[in-house]
Amino acid sequence: MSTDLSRVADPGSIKLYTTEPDHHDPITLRSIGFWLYMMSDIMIFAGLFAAHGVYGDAYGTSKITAAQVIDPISALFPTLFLFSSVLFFGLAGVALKNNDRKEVLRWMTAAFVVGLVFVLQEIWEFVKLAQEGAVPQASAFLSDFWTIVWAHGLHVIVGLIWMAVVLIQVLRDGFTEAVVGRFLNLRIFWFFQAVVWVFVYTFVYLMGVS
Amino acid sequence: MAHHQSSPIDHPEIQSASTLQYVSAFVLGLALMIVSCIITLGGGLSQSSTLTWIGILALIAVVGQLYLLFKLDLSKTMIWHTVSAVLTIPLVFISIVVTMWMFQYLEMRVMVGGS
Repeated sequence: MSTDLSRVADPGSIKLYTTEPDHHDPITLRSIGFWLYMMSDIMIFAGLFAAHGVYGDAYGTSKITAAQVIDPISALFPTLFLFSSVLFFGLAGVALKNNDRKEVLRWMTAAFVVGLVFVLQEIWEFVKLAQEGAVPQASAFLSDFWTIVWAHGLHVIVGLIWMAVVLIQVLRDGFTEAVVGRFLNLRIFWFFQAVVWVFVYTFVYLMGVS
Repeated sequence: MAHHQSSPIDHPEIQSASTLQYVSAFVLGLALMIVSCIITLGGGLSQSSTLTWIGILALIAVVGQLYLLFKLDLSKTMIWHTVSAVLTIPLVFISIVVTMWMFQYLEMRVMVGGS
């Protein structure tokens, strides 16, 4: 307390700002940088959802309606797979906090496998749709439906490739600053896929049959 | 916050990982999606009130996930993540709502599209 008072007494010692650049650690910088990328990535989905708001019931000459191609109950399975994968990756983050490499690898593998199940299930679902004639070129609604679901699906595929790479790096290099930074950015990316899926499930799947 | 970490694992964003919060995010997200599904298929509500309710539930799920998964708060570690996320919300809102409004109005004025 007394030192504070003496500082106030001498206005010359008060520092309002530093003249030297602030040296943040690389992990913090990479995290905020990747977060800003994620914010712009969200704008891609904003554009797609805007298109969905316009073309949601634009069937044109096609006889295929949203209610025919969308089954919200079976779409609960990809929801379960994706949320589980996000949970497992989160648990890998908890293991990283505890510096337990074996557990990190175990949970990351679990997250990868369940994420892969999500993608394979989605491919299977859309192959069936294509066989029934519900192809993207059939109507504006179907173009929109395929584009939104696969814009998200493509994100998940990229996330899986990234996860495989980080898995190998954790195995090979351990928890170096570079690997931990990549793990943190992948965690941001992967968690975001669950957030986007909430909108996809609600505004594409559920809204399509309401 | 120390600027020079002894180990990358000591980084506050790594240390913020929490089993309880991740499990809560999982349960919250899944439960709300199931409730939304029941509301939609139950058919007891009109289309507009169904959309309002599933919209509100989706919003709760997303806010819950943003807090529980990303730990968005006003702490020194997360303040700029939070600020940039909050500033992105009006951009998303403007993109979606204004686009939809514009096309709906356009359709009304030019009388094309039918439906």
